[in-house]
Amino acid sequence: MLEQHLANIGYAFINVLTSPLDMGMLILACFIGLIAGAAPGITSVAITAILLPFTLWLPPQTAIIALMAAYASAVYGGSVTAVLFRIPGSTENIMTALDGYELTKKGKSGYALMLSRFYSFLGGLVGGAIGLFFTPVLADVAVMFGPAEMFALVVMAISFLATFEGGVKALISALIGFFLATIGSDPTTGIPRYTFGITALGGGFDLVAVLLGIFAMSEALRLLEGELKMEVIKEKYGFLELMFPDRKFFIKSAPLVFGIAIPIGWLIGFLPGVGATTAAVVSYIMARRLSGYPEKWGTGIPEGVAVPESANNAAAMGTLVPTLALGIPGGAATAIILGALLIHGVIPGAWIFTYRGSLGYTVLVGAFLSNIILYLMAPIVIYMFLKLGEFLRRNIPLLALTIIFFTVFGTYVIRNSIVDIFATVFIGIATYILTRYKFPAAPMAIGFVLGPIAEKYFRRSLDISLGNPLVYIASPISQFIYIATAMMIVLPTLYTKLKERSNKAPRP
Amino acid sequence: MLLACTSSIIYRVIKKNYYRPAPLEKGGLSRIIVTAFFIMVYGVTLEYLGFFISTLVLSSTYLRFLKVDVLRSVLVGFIFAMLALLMFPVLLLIPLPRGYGVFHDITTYMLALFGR
Repeated sequence: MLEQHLANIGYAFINVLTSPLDMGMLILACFIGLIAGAAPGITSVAITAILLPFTLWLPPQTAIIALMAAYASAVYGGSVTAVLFRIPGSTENIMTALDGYELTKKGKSGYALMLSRFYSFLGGLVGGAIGLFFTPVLADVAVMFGPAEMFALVVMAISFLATFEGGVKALISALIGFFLATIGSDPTTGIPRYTFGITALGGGFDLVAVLLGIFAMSEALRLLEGELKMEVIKEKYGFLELMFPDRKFFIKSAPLVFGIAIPIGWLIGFLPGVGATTAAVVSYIMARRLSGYPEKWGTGIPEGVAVPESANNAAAMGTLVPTLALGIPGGAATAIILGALLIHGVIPGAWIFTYRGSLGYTVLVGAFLSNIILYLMAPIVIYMFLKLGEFLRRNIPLLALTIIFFTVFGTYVIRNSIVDIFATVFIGIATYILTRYKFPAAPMAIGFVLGPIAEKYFRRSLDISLGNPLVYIASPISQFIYIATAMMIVLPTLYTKLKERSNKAPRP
Repeated sequence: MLLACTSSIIYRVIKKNYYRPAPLEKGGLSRIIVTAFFIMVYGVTLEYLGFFISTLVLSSTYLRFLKVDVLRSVLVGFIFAMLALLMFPVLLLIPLPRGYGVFHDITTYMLALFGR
């Protein structure tokens, strides 16, 4: 069985590597995804959707490989502007913007970009490898996660928000995010909530508009509050420094990356309907909590870039599993890929992994190879953006205008709505004022991302159980998640208290 | 009750952790207000003037307000207008508003130069 599985993987590798069309489309899709991902407002989902019509004339396996490569490249590309300008190019990069931008302010933007590239690659590679070897085996596990289990997972992430720097202020910030997420039509009943009769608010705030307001717009305003000149530290790097992190950091961060970010990212990606944004948020919060130095996160530490980047790319690979094996899309981008499969007349299911040369193996190999191509291609993009960032930081009015330009267009192109631009400005001003009073901005974004997911699964669980509240703790998976959450909150605090007490105790 | 609880938490936070931020530098507040106003106006004029003209005119005006010299302001405004044109409607095929009347004609002409 295993031998046949390995033989099928090997055959798929030869199949893709020797096909000029497959390789050509892989390279082209990686390039387009990288550029589009770096442009704010063009999310990884949007670029996958834009490319869909162009792939219709391709053979099914090439079309799916190209779409998957564009999606994975856009997830990485979004980190470039997140690091340099605090503008998350894609929603998956919101957590990268926190520490990545702080590293840029310290004159280490090249280092931050190298980290995001290396750990994106690592996350994608390990996630792709897990997918290659375990997809046929693990596909059934995905269906064991029902709404109650998903809700438990979100509760776990929300619980860790309380450990953010700022304490109550972080929670208030998260509550504002939750509140913003409730504006619009009720997802179950369709009744308008907090719209005050304004029709344009019926659809609620768009995620991109809110994130650009919280991160980009508030940063543009902050840049303009002070002097219009900024000292720029000229950065110089050797080739190897732009290719790999130093061995000391790699070893130090390995438990967080391999023990938390990649497994959690992959698992969340592999669960149907959650996606890479949630993967980045949850893994960042958990790694911060378990790192032993949570107070340093958000101040510009390399782990703050490595963890979310490896998680979101592992998630991008994980989303392929339920899509290919069960026909259940792991997220919005894989829903488009599923659509492409159906357009080509391929019905997803376990059968696509059953014979040599079958589509399932070829697509997974293509996704795996796209990470290698992306890694080789990225230095050019990094160099370009590094020089652009240096130039703009010397000229604050130009930098502010660049951020405003990308924010306005990034917001507008999502729904062609001016109301979204006004919402971005309003949220940007509110975030700017809040951060002046030391309310952290990140929990607000996290609240906005997790709020609707929590609400959806909470209500769906109640509907399924006909209103029985015990549904949330009925399954062993939920019970395990709640116990793990409680332990992860209590144990580090208990450990710190005991350590303090032992330090205070008089020595004989 | 929810309102009372929230107010009480906010009151406690303010009372316990009152933090007074450093005052803004001279001109900082006016720059922030004008920036917010500029973005609102930009949003509105996008529909009426079209993305090309509104980017060109408003970017230049905004940079002039931030005391950038005239030539550089106009040049940067033009670069941004071209960037919007090439990036969204030409390369990524994402439609942007073309404006009304003469502005529609100008934007359409610019797009036609690049085959759109």
